[in-house]
Amino acid sequence: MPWVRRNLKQIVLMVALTILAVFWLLPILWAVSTSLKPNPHTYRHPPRWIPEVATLENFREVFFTIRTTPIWRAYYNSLIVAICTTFLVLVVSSLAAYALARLDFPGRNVVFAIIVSSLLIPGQITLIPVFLRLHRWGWLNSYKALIVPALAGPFAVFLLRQFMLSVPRDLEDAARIDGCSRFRIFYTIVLPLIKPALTTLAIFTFFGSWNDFMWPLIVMTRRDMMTLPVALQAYLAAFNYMIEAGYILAASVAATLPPAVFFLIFRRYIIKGIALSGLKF
Amino acid sequence: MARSRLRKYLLLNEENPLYGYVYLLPYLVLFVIFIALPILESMQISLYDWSLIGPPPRYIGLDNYKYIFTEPTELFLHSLKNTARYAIGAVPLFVFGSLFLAIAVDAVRRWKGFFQISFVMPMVINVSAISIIWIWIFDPIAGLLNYYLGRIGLPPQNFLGHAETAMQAIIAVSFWWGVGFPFLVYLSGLQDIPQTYYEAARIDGANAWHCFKDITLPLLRPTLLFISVMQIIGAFQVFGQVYILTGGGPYDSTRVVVQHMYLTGFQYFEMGLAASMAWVLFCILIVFTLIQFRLFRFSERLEY
Repeated sequence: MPWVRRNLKQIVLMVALTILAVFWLLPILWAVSTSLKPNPHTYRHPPRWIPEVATLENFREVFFTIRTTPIWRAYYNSLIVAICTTFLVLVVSSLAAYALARLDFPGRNVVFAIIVSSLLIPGQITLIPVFLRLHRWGWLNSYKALIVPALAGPFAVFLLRQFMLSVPRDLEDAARIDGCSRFRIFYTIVLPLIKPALTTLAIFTFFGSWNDFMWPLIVMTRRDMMTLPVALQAYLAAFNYMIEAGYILAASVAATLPPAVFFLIFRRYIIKGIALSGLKF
Repeated sequence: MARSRLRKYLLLNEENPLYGYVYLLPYLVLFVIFIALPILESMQISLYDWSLIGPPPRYIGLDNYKYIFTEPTELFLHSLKNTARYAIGAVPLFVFGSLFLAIAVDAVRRWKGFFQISFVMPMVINVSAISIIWIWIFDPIAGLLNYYLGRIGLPPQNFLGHAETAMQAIIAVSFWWGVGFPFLVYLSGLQDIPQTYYEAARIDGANAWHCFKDITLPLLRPTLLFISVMQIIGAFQVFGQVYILTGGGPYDSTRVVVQHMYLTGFQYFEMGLAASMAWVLFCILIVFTLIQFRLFRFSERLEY
């Protein structure tokens, strides 16, 4: 068969990749399958991919459970924190980046050098002092404890500044000659020009905040304030794996589906954003 | 003359030389409070016997650093060793495993989108959810993995419960979860290599291996270096999946540095000890971070 011989390499590649891709997706499908089974069915042998009886009872239980953080509450906390963090990071960082990229003022280079060199410091260094500070201020177990420290991250400022420098200045110069104010130039010319960088930053900040684990684990100890990752982790202690696996898996699936759908919808932007972050701004 | 120069600083408009600080100030305040000062405070705390629940902080010089390296249980040294074990297993897997996936997906002509989605999908799931999913698959009694291993005649294993397999299981889960990022970076690197290079090589009679060795690899070197450094830094900071999958067990065989620091600081409230551990971690990471820094600098001029 000449067609097979001509395309042998492609066929082998397709088969190998398909097997791998299926392996990558199976754990997620297995979790979905388990989450739909009534609890007594979860430990049955042999494992069944298609539940004999499918039910949404597990989801009902975890969304409104009284034994630990109900999933709706964890969602609510995660959403508030992620949305506020993303919005405020964009505002604060783009303003700072504009000053560092386009405005001339005494001390600019020193400030920029300090901000950039702080990129060398891993997050674990500031963990304890920031915790002690928030503890003193009585900020623990509040949304601000997750939102406000996240705004100080130097990477966003660095990224946006680099991007602003790569945008041609001509439009801004023309606007200045026409008597346009600095702020209007920033708002109506510079921001639209750096939209790709802003989108990337928004997606990264949102996912970063949404999936952050260690910091919320430290500052959100009260059940009703836990974000999704912290609440889920508490499910392992609050429910019994041997007889309630359905609940635990339903909680995981509920936490997984929205970001998965979001990813499928905005796949292009996310992939482009990741490519952008790898060595090329 | 000098007077008019000074007067500019009093202007309440854009002509004031300090006008830039209006834009910078919100960030700068946050930066000072949550990054700059904490870095200095962290150094200070590491020199104190600082317990949240005990007597007030007391200056003890470098004793914390001495203590974590010499205390009888050797848990910190142990956790350093475990972190290195994780890094040695995970970094090559991430660096080369995702490279091969990217090369394969780049070469395949159909279903590129589907393959991309499959390998990237786990990345958007949070660490608790992926850990729960895998605990369920690794389950010694009802786990999917043991069932299928049993089908091909292998005895059931408690993957996360045995010191020999727990770290491998963590590495495997981490790779499954995190392959998407390096995969996508490689993929975009591969797509940037002009096809004409390959065509020219093929006309000169080069085979696939030569094309890979003499075109792909050299042109991908900056990307390869970037991914390696990033993965090393990430590996030394691994925490979430270890904390949930094994909690550092069995018998501390998977206890990693950041987890040990977390427990010291937030379970035993020994802030001084935890801060000194953070600085030891910093000393390990700084070499790699500096390499990464150089890469960023040069990246602006990277064109083929």
